[in-house]
Amino acid sequence: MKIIIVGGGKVGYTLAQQLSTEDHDITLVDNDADVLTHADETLDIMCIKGNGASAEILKSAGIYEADILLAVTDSDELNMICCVIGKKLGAKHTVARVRNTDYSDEYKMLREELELDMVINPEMEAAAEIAQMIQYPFAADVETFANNLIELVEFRVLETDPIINKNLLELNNHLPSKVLFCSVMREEEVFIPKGNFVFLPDDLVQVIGERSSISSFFKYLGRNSNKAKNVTIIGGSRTAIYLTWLLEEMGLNVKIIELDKERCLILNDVLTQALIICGDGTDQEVLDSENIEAADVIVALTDRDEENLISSLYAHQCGVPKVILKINRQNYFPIVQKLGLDSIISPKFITATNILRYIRALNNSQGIAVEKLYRILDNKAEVAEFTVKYSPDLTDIKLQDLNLKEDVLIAAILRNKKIIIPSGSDVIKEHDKVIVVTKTGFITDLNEILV
Amino acid sequence: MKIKIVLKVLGIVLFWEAALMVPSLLISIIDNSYEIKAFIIAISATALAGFLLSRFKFVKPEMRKREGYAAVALSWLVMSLFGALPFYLSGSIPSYIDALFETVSGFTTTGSSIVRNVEIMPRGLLFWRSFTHWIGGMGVLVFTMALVPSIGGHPVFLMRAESPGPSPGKLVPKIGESSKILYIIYTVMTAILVILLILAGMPVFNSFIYAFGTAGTGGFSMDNLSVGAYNNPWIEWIITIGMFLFGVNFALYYLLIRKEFKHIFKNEEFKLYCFYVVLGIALVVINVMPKFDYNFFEALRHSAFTVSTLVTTTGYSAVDFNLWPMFSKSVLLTLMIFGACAGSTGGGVKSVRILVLIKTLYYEINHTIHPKSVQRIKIDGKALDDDTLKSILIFFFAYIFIIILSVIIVSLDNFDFMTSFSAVIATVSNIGPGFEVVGPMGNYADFSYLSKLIFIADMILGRLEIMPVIALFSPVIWRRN
Repeated sequence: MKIIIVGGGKVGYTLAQQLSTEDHDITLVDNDADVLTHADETLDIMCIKGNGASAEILKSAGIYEADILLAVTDSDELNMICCVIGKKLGAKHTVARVRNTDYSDEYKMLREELELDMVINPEMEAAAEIAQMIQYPFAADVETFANNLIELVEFRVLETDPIINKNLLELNNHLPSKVLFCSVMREEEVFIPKGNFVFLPDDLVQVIGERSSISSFFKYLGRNSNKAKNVTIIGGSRTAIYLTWLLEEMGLNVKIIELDKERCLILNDVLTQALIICGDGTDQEVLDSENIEAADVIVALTDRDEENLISSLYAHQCGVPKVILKINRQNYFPIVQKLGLDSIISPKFITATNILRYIRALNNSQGIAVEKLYRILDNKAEVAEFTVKYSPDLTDIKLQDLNLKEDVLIAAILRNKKIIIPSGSDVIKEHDKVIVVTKTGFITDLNEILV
Repeated sequence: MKIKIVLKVLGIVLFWEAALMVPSLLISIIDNSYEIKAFIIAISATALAGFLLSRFKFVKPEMRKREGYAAVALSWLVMSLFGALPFYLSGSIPSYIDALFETVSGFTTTGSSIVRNVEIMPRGLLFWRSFTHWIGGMGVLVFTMALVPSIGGHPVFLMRAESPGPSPGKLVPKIGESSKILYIIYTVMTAILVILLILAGMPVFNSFIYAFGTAGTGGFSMDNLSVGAYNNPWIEWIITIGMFLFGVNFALYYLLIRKEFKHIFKNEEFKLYCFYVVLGIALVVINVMPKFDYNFFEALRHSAFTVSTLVTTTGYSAVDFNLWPMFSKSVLLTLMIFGACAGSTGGGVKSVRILVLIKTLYYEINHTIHPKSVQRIKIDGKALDDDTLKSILIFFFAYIFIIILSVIIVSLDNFDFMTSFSAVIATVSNIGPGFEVVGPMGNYADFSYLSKLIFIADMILGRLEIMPVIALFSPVIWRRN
């Protein structure tokens, strides 16, 4: 597809990077020559300097033939204008990033009146993601498939877990419910575990199954699946506001620690129930006096990665069961993960991921059969959902007889709303939905999993 | 620098070079001529070297600027070393340095020759000699990228190092697609030229040879009298216009296909190129007409051919312009330095750089009169960034410096000044013939090996526009960190 991206910041760059490796034609428009030079030298894309809301610039970027226009500059208004003009000039789909809380109730109107196909709010998406993490405190990451019937949960193996030091075949007989281990990341290397695989402490594991199976699996692990009650948020950013709204809906107690007095007053106006503390969230005394050990969840959401890291590390040391932190710079991820903090949130990364999902979904309608596609474990593996079409080499053949590629796993089959966690004697039938895990790279057709 | 990736790129390039030698081998097999064995050995050696080098594996494809520049310069050097094998092994050119000179002259689309009598060369070798022009014109790495777009991590540097002009750009977002489009335009234009030459009465094989020379703006012919041998005004006009068109930035042809005519006529570089070509023709006509017994149309034909051949840095000849008066020679010498447009197959300083230099001079004068004036140099309405401007000024200085240095060394052979000077200009601008001894009827055979090596260096420096070659030979680039 031909895609124009306006704004080459973190989100724009990440999108250009991902999409250009998926065989799309990307044109990046930005005002800043340095940003463009960097993008031009590192990515196989076209760069155009200029104001993305100007019709002349959009024309030279090829707006007439563009399939998608993504406006992800820092300015909400510029993004909206850019999309309106782009649509008038002939872009088939438009996506705008709009983040100001003032517009947060007006998305429906924006979509209808400005003919935007998608409005994306990074802070709101981040808050939703954090809320989900709080709901599943044992998981580092949760994704859902097949209309939320199947869950894919990422967690880190602890030394106390009963699953270590057993090979997978043996382990499967002990498990209380049917779940499937899809992929494991150990020391930056990704495995698709086979029968003789043995888990070690500190492995990052993805497990897939029905919601009830997943929760009984985590009970078996002895993880505390009691719902969290008290949440402390450090930093009163926009994300904190959205998050507090969501958490209060879920009936949790929220405490926000914010340094700036003015900001505290604003927070107090918007958030009626939450307790607002004016203090420095990186100061251990402040944290101690707010009795940080008693919190079930700590969320560090200040604008500075380093401050978030310090507060989180302290909370982690104090034994807070769940610590979530916001990190903007993606290259910090591996460092932070090494310190034992798994629950990392990056609003910009979430934005990019959500836009990518939207684009991949558009791609489906253009003949590619992927229904949903997630990149997991630092983009080193992919989980994709397909609807099965008849194929003589694939359908109605026992899985153990299929000539599958190395590093491909059929993780789940959905037939008539019933979930099958497959074993060797199961078959794939026409019209089934199939969830496939691969580390071989982007697959666009289910037949590609065969040798 | 990451040497592995550089060597891998080199390997892929050599592999393709071996493949590109095959048509020449087929021709020599058809003729059952003596150079068959030479081609078979050369192809096997090149393919083997390519195969071994392309087996390099690396974890992360990291092609930065220095790797890209080094890969391009090294590819051109090694490619020429292997490309010279058919000439040397067949014994057609007994000295390896001479064979190398001929091959470098081919790949860099210079067209300077050390062969005294080209008419006795077998057809297989003639075809290879001219085919190097065609490959070198648009670039070997651009060709490779059209077929293997995933070369290294950031292939944009390969394109920048190889394509002529201060800031070569892509036509479409994907570099592989851009290279394909360029080669499609190039091939179609060459094919049209071949057909026109055949229609004008040239034999089929000869049409290919002259079309390759014209398309790559090279200038190798197969007749000692060059185009003049046919004494056919139609052929001369076809080649005149052909050369002019191959000297135009290929991006403009892409705009033409997309029917964006407005941008073509607004292109300042193209306008300047047309302007100095027309002016050059007019001056030469006025100067030449009364001195020789030409009528107006003859004078126009000869001047247009000669101006077109020298400004596009092709180097064919239809008349012996060495006999022309000094004023005409000076005009021609100037045009030889100016050269064709950026993004074409031509050489020289390039029209767009001349445009920027003139504007810089004008603004500087203006600035002296109005010291507080603020003016940025704009090309096609777009402000030129400081880095590009700086690189153009440095390029021009380096160009002049290389000319001066080369002239001093070549003077050791004790030829007259016009010979030494024009020979250096003709090689560094990738033209071919100069004046006096190296004039259209002469050749480079009488120079010493030292001078020939200098010319070889000049040709590659001129074709790759200096920086990649200097980068390759600076010790800093070879350090690990």
